[in-house]
Amino acid sequence: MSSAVLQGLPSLGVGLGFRSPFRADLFAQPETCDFLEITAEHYFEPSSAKRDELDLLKSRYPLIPHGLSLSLGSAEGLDQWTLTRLAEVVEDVRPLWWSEHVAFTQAGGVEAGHLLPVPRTRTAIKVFVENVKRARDAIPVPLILENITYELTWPHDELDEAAFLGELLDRTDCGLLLDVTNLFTNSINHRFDPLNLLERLPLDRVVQLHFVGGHEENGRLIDSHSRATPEPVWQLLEAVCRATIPKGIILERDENLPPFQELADELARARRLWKSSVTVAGVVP
Amino acid sequence: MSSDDVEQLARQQAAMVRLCTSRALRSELAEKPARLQAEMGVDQHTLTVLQGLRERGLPTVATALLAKRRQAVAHLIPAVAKRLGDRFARAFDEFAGDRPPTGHPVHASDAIAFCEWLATCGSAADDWPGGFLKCQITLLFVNKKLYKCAFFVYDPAWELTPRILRPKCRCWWLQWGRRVWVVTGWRVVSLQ
Repeated sequence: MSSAVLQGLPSLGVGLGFRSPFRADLFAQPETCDFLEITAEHYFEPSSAKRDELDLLKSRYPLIPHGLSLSLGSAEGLDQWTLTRLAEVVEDVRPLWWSEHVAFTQAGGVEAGHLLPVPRTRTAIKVFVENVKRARDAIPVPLILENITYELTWPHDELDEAAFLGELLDRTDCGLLLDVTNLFTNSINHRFDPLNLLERLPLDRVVQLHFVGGHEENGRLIDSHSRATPEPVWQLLEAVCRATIPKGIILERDENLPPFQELADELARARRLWKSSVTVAGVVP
Repeated sequence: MSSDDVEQLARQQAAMVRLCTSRALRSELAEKPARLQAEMGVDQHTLTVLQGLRERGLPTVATALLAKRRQAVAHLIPAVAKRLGDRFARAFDEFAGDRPPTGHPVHASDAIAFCEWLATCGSAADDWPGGFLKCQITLLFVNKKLYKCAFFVYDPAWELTPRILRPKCRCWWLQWGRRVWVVTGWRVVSLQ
């Protein structure tokens, strides 16, 4: 998938990471979102209630499945059960693209329960190339990969974050799901200039953006998806929208849910940024 | 993927995940690395990498992972979390400190294992009503083939939902200390 192919993907606009508590408000104010991102794992072997929920969402919104547990960075390969379930969800939803993370979540038969960073080495890139190839065989829909927050880096890294992501996306031929909040969080916790990193990322591969706010704990930012988006993240989002035209922007609120109107206001602000991005580029949204 | 460097990375990742999910192993890495090396069967290079990870914040990662697990399980069993209140986090951390999450879906399996532990051997067990707990087995047939055997805890206070499915049932009853789980019924659901 060359960057030209990525640029040819249709634009979806602005939306929410769907969580069940949003359902009533979403259907009362359908114009708030242009599309929704669903957590793929929530619909693995769905109960009848989850099946109905998915059908309802499909009937109203374009959906993008977002995987959490495929563990594309696992050197021992992919878990067949997870890959099969993920393929079922994607086949059901028929999205324009689907997404996963630059991370691993399981190894040696043990689940970590969340995203862990991989070493920034060419061996890790080789692992991703093989795993993405296998995922693509099962799921023939464009795949985009998300940058994660990390508490640590591995010893003996061969590349810095920008170089690693650039080479990884190039070798796997995937698009980038740029989580602007993750970029900001890492820049605070690991003390670097996020704009400098942004300039070195392959922005021509950006397909989608994530944004939200986290909280502070013991002097560190935690990516808890639990607060309103802070101003520095808005500024980064604006910088990204000046540099590239994302096909979709998702607000990823999971915790400490506010009244829906607050989310609607954030989405409206994101929509203004997105529209200015496509207007500058002369593209009709 | 069979090259040596990939296999080496697989061993390092497996060791990292085990360390992230085991307080005891993390403590050994800090205090008795040679013993840990023998126990985990890792080579000297992998041990060096693990020590590097520890210096770079592995305990913080482990704490963050535990918090994520706790949060996910609390979402799945809100009645249990509410009932335990402030003690939920302490009880879950006691349960999960040396038990990695297993099974599919991972958080649902974690939740049911936590409930079993809570009722039988956790420090909060004495808060639970109890000499025995009722449960029900559900057999789901699809196209006349057994598709899933689910184990539902029956105590309404627990509010376990069908999201929490066991891939297979364990036994008719389970006795652990003073507590006994009794299978009070079967349910057969058949989908053509």
